[in-house]
Amino acid sequence: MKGLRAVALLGAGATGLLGLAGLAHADEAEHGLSAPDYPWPHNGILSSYDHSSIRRGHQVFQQVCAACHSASLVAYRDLIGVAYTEDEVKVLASEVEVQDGPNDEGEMYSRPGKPSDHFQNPYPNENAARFANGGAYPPDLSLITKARHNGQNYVFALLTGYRDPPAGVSVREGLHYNPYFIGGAIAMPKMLTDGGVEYDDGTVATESQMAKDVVTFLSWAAEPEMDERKLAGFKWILVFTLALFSAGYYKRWKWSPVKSRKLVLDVIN
Amino acid sequence: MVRRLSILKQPIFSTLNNHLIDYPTPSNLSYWWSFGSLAGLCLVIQIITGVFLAMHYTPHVDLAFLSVEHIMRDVKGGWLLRYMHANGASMFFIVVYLHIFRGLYYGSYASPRELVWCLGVVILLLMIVTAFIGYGKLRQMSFWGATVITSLASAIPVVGDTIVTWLWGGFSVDNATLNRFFSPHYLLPFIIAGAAILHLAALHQYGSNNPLGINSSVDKIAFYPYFYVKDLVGWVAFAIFFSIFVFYAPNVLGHPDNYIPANPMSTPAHIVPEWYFLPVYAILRSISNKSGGVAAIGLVFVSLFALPFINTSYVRSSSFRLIHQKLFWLLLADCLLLGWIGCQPVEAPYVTIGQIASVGFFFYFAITPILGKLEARLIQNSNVCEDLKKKRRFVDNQSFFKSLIATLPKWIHQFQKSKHENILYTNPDYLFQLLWFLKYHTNTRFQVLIDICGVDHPSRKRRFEVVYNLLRATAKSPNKVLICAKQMRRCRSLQRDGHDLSNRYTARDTQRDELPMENIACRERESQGIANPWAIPNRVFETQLNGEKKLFIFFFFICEREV
Amino acid sequence: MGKVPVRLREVAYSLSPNHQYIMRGLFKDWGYKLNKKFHENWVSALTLITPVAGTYWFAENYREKEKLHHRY
Repeated sequence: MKGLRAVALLGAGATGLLGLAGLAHADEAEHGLSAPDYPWPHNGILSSYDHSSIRRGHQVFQQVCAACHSASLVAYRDLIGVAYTEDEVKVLASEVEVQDGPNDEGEMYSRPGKPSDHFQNPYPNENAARFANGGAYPPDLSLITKARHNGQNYVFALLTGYRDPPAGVSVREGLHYNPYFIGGAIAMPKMLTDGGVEYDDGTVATESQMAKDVVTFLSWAAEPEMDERKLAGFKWILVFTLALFSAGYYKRWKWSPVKSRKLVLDVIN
Repeated sequence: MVRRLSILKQPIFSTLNNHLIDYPTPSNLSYWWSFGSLAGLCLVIQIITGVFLAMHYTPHVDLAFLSVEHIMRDVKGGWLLRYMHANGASMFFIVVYLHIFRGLYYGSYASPRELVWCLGVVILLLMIVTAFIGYGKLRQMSFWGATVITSLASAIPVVGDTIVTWLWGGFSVDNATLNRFFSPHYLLPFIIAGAAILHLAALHQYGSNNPLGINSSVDKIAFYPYFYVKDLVGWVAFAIFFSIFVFYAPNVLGHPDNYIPANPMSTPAHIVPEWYFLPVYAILRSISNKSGGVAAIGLVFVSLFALPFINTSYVRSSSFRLIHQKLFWLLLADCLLLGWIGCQPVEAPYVTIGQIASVGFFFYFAITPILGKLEARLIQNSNVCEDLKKKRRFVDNQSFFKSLIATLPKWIHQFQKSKHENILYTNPDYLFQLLWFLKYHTNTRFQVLIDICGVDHPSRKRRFEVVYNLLRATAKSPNKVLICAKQMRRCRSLQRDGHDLSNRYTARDTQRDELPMENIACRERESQGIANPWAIPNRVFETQLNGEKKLFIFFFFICEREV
Repeated sequence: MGKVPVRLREVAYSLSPNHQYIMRGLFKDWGYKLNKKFHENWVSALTLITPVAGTYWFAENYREKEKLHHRY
């Protein structure tokens, strides 16, 4: 019974899925067009982030996205050893003004940032953000790739997916057509254009290159522990697999007298 | 002289020894029996990771979401703790569901283990409550999920709304809710641990069930080391499965909306609970009326509690219950479908499918009382096993003896049926075999030798008949078989064989039973000239039957009492 | 029912694990074992899979037809 359950489930499931593959899912406007699966370099079991891509992505974020979006869960010190050295991070942090206080006189004051500060919000609160963006709130991007279904692919497709609406579809003033967004009309305009950012390392800044880099950066922002997690995962799964073979052998070794025993029952006279 | 003190015989240790080391366990348990100890392991994992998480978590509405992110990013190994705790809850439910379905398939809930099953359902309820209140309140999905489910309490008549306000600690899910949920979330796992110990104690009263579903006291082995090593294999396999989720797919069992802080102004498009609640959620949504839905959920647990008591089957394991086996797989399919429906929107055709599936779920429990009896009747009709038969239809039937003769053509060469008796004629060569067969075979069991009687037909060539009067003691009616073995020469051995079979070695007068020989007129007379030097005749009757002279010699009356 | 308790003695003959093959029994006759598992269980597997797959297919088919029905 137990042996076949898995096999039967797999076999029948596979044939069932093949049969269902031809069917499309529910309406696209309701859920947004499904993003394609992009071959992210950090997708493999033992693949880490492309850290130079994180560095470039942070540049894109800083120059393009940070004007409207916050990423308040990320601190400058998190970038040390990931995309920048400590000195570079100190310089980066010091370029922003951070509100601090109260001082001895009881006043709040601004000071240059330190690595321990988090990324600053472009707007003081949500209301200000909505007011500045026609009623739409630019979401915090610290967790965006985890907060959306198929996050990484979704964000990439969204950023590069702006196009003219198809015939018959109109979007109201202030919104832009994007098939990947739920409802098809998004308040954010197309932000990435070829050559929009000049990369430090000289990489050509095409639209898809910037999108890829910024998504890699956002993936890191959402899951900074991924490299360590995959390494630990590989280690522990390998160890447990070896342990499984050992435990299996040990179990059979202990059980062999029981499994090969011969019982003789007889009447006592 | 130093006395060796066995530590395992000292007070507390002896209890541990009797329940964990030298505990008798059926030798044929399969790996499906490892899920129990695995569930205990999951509980320990949840408690340990939970305690460490609580050191860094802030249960305040403004800080809860941030404190979780602080754990994930800043606390060393915090991501591991958080992912282990979140995925550990899913693992706990997977293990417990498999454990429950194992119990359903093999009939582990049946008598005498009803208390084990009921305590298990209590543990499941506690787990559900713990998981629900531990799901957090300050993330989009958990906030709205909590709002929806706690407002179900308003279905309770009269006090419903008051209870909801009390649960919330206000007029919506807010800081008060978070605090009054977090505290029992810390407490309940220890209650679960206590309930698990009671569950084990109840189990140890009668011992584990086994895949055959029969009494296993004939072959039990010690719990240590055999089931320690077997459970170890299960634990390591579980560790691999768990690790794949924790390290490589930590968010696949959750919902992305939970990475958005709760927004009371914005309702998610589809509110779904965690996957392990989906079947019950589907049943809840199948009924449009709120109170009806809540009642349906209550009915689910009532059915689970009632199952051991409405079960009428004599047979435990589905391996031997062919109808129930199919129904079991249909039930599992139904639960999987309900789970899938639970995460679909409330639209056609999902609504209808959900309603049919919910009915199907309750159908399984409704049919349980009838099913046992139906299966027993089908087995009865197929003459498979006599212990399951209510009526012994073929006991007094001539067809039984016809089949008996067909089985043993060599030993029986004639058969005669009279009113209470069936007479088998045999040859002295085969007498011992035939008597052995009739005594020990399951279907015959003529274990009582009432009487040996010799008949002398002076006029015949083969003069002597030795009649063995056998009684089959069954509940309804006794059935006698008389065996006539002809030929004088072998009479001595026949008598000895009769002795052997009836376990008597001394000849002595015992209670004389009434014999059904109403049609024979008899009078006492002294024995005359019959050569039977080995026996002491008790009485001798001369009679005339059918014009033929017969002398009945009663050697002695051997009566064996049924124990 | 008519059972007379008879005193039995059971003798268990076992062999040390160091004197027998440990893993061999697992893979011996694996073809026969798999065959047996298949033949004993294919009805149960079908009873499990068919309602799930069938209902899923039916629902998806329904949604697809509904979607196409709304289009020109």
